[in-house]
Amino acid sequence: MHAYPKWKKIIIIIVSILLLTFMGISAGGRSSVSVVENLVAEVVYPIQKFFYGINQSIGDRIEPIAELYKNARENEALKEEVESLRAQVVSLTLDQRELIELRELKGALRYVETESIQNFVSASVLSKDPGNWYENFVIDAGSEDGVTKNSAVINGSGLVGMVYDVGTNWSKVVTLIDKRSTISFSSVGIIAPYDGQIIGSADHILRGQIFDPTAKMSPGDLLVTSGLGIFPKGIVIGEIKELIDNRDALLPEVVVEPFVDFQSIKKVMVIPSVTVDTEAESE
Amino acid sequence: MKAFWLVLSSLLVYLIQTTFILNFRFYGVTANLPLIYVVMVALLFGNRAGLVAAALSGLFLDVLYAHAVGVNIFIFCTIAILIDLFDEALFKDNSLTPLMLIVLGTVVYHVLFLAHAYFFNLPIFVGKVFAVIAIESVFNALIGLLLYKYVIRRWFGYELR
Repeated sequence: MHAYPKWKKIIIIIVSILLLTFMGISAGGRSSVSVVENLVAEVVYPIQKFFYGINQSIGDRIEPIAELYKNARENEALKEEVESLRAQVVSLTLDQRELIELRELKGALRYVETESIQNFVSASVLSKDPGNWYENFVIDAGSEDGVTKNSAVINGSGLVGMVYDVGTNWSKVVTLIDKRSTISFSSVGIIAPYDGQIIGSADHILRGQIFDPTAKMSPGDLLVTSGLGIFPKGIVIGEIKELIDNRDALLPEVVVEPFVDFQSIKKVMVIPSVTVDTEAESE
Repeated sequence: MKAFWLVLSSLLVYLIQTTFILNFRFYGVTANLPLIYVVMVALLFGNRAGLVAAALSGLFLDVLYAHAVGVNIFIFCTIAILIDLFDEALFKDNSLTPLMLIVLGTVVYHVLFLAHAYFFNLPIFVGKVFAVIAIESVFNALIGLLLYKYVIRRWFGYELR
């Protein structure tokens, strides 16, 4: 082992302090990244998009062959699901008629429309986190497309996560399970929807509490975003996997399994956050 | 090693890692090609080349994926410096040297990465820690040894013991 001269040690210490400072500044996400980062990303992304596209097309061709047995089993399960869904369609058609009547009544009473998601941005996944700990990914939409920090990211299966860093034509997305930010939820109940909050954990499971100690919920119950916090109301999160009977806790605890398969996300929709715009305007 | 080749090879390693390598997962764990690359460059081409390779590889990963920019640069540079500190004591023509350094580098990488995750309050799946380190070490060691043998033969013109 050889010793470094004093000047080298000083340089190492200074660089380390600078790096740690930059880590501190950039942690927590930014509404616009630095010029250097944007430059690196703009140089790398076109090449990466090309490589990722080739990789995806090869993967798409190989995957069906590799998962032949799994697909056969899935096919059986889907047939059973179709049977049960047919029965649900009949009952839902009746509910729909009722809903149309209620909407007409709403119009007649001049009710104000409250929630509707119209200003979303469609984006493709450019690349995924190459590490072994998190499932973050990068999308091909940025500030030029109207994406802002903390925008909700969804796909066909439900809530995926939120935008963390925003570049000019790219954004870094942190998934639900990779961020320790709380998500307020509401249960989809016919009689009484219960509210609560959940938090991400790295084992792909969300954990949290139901605010009502007398809540009657069971595994399999569907959860959607409640509209409190950064996520808009009514986005599907997942279903309750387990209800934990912890007598020491004041509130009932739940374990939630998200519907989104975080490893096979290809296309997403971004719902720009309004909060950040307001913050920027005030600055 | 010239700067141009360092930039080009760092970019190539990053692209292979984020596209091709991700297809090969065992128990959800994949190899870490940038780490293997940093260890190899630091070992074979000296401290300066090792630090440049570490900074570039770290920069690409940090800008595009990390929760905080600087994490991978910091970890890779630490590994490059550690290799340089023990450089005189290392016998580079023995295949055990890259094998050992890559495994130790993998352990150092994850210890520092988990420390950063703890300080930034990121979720850590504790039950996965040992599995990730063990599987990644095996992956990295195998790929690293093959690449090291190839580079020694092509670049330095002799076979590894």
